[in-house]
Amino acid sequence: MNKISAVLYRLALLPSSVYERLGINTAQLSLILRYKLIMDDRYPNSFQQARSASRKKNISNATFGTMIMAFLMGLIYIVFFITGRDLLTHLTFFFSAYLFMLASMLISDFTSVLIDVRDNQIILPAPVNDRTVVTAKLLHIMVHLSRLVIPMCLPSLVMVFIQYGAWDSIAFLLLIVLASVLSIFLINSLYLLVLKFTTPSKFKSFIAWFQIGFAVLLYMSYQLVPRIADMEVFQQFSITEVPYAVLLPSYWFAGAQLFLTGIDMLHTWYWFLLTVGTTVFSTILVIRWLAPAFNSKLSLISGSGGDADSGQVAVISRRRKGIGDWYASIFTTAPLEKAAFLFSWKWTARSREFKLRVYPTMGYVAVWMGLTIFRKIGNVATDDPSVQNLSAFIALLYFSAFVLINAIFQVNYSEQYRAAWIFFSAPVEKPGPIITGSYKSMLCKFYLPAAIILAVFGMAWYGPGVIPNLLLGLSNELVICSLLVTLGKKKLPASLPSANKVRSGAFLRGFFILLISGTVAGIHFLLHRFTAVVLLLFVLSVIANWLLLNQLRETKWAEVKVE
Amino acid sequence: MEAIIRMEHLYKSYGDKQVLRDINLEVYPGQVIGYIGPNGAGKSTTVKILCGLLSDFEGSVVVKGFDMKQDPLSIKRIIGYVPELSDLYEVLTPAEYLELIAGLHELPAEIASTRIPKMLAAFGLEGQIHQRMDTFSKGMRQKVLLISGLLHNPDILILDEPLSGLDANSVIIVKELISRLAAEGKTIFYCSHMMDVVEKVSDRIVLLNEGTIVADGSFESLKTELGQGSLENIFARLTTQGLHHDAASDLVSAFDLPYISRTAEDE
Repeated sequence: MNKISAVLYRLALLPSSVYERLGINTAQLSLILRYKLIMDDRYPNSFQQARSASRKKNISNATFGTMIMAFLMGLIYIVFFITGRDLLTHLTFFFSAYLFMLASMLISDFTSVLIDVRDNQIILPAPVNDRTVVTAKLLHIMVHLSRLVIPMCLPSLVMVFIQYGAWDSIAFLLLIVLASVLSIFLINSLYLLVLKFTTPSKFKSFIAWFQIGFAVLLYMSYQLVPRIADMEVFQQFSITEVPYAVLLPSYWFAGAQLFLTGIDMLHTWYWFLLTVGTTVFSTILVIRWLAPAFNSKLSLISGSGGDADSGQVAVISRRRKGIGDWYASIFTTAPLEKAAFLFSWKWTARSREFKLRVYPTMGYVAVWMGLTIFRKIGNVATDDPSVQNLSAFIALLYFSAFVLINAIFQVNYSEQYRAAWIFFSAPVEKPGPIITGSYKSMLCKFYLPAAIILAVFGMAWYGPGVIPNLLLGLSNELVICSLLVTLGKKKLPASLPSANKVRSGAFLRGFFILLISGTVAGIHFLLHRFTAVVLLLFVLSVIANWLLLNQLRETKWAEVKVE
Repeated sequence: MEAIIRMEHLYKSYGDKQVLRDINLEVYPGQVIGYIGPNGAGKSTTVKILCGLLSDFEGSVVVKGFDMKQDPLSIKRIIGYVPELSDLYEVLTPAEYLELIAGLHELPAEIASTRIPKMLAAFGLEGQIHQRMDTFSKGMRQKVLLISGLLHNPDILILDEPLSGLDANSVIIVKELISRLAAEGKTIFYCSHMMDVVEKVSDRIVLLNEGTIVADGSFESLKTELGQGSLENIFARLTTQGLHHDAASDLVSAFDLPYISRTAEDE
């Protein structure tokens, strides 16, 4: 266990007497948690391959990188303390943003930890009660989450300390902890609740759809809030003017902060009570009522050794030509590339893991697209079509790469990564075609549809004049993705372990790559009126794509990352 | 006759741990080699080297005239490998998985598309051709893996515990298959812990212990050389150095040690 984990481990086990009262075996709890944390450090690090003794005690660079990213994200939160008229508004915005970020990370990065079926063979046969197992899993998630949450909240905490003093910042910290616990338990209680009432096979698909739905919902609310008014009005905005705001948990937390710091206590005590109440309630709900039966259900999710729900055997209908086969025959030439194309195509269509990690980002992009189109239609009367304000469209062009970026990253990770031995034992001279085949299939699946929608939308709205910018945007998106695949160690599809590593940085990582595309988008926007330049850049961009793809095709075995 | 597999002075170590020490072995076409040895003797390492999965070994491995260090690809083309752990992509159907294997071996599509259903049917999997393998039993997966090793019609078949998880009928099929393939001149490298099967299917037994070959010959010749008895007894004599018979009693006597259980503590 590294030092950071060790400190958090001790913190997590502080309320032992509470755990005991809830029927948890604390000795087993600390044991399970300790071993889970030890194992997190032992598994091959996806950033550094070397398993040298030197990193035994050190915190890996990846952990630090993630923490720095979280800190930078936290700096953005300071903005909330200068928007709006009053403290209640500041705090409501802060807690909304915080809960959103936390929920997104929980959903995209940590669901796999909760429903990790590797425990089945180890913990379930041992005499460990359900509450202990569930609590150990949740504490495990919390330890990982703390690494992100602490640096993320640090800037705001310092801000509160400077502006309002020590007591305020302590109260603020307390509420941040409460908010974290609340979101962890609420999201998990929903999972457990559903698991309690459905079959495991339905649960699998529920999770995927819930994640997408929730992500979309959160994102939509996030998108809509700042659009209530423009920035100048916004400075004078107070959340108290919006009556339905009292329904937002972030509003309760803001109210609780006011109570704790002695502001208007007569009218804020109930917010404090509400936050504490819901947090305690969700905790008890999970541990007391939902944890039992969780494990027995979990054991049914496992794929190993014959699914218990074998009544539902997945039969793949054998259409003579699926769309995947059709794409493969168009976009691939060599049989090897075609085989890899079809493999990635099918694998990503069926792997629950992959869907859990990629589909929520599809939700974000869909909402962004929807909102952009919606706003365009809404502005139909006011907009002068002769004034081509392409900023929203260009932003959309680049933002839609988010899904693809995520997909090309996740396609390489699988619980069944050991099955990748076939790539190594087969007479494959250069793994390049396997990598390009897999990459092309991700392009067909996650890039083509988006590109078509964007093209249709762009042409319909802006007319044929948009074509140069459309082409440049689409091509640049590809260059960014091709660079991501080409730079660094190349990876074969489904060949690297995933479930064994809590990839807590995945969500933030995607966000930062997005910042890079944002920069490219910004430059594109500055140049978008100069059609000749845009066309020239488009040609260069296409050449870059062609070169990158060729280089990728020439990948040698030595360049491939092995688990 | 020219040997189809020739290993000379083969050494391999993982860090400080020497796994193979000076392995010398010649295998001829049509032979069924029973490659046996205790856990950790180096069987799987030999197999991985032979399949081109491990390249950092010392010594030379020549298969059908191709040098493993120079031209591993040509060797991979004529070898079929069935690994011990049934690691395969469960979300695919057998047909899809085997199509992937065929693609990796660059088998023409028309050959693959006729061969795959035939081979699956031979193992009684015709009803499951388009079913995802995540619902398959261990035996069914093993059958798919066996087919994946045979699909490209290799000259050499390397089987690592091929019978694990198979039902009795399938065991008969595999044993029959091994002798039929051997009769056709194919070479079979059979790794197993199941001595009775090795005794029956192989016409030459190679016993590995601590990275070196300690016995090599037909079962009959080993018996005359090392005394009567089953292969199990010969195996035990050559690999345990007398530690063996005490193990069971040591295990049982371990219970007598002061044993404090949680419940005992509570009471």
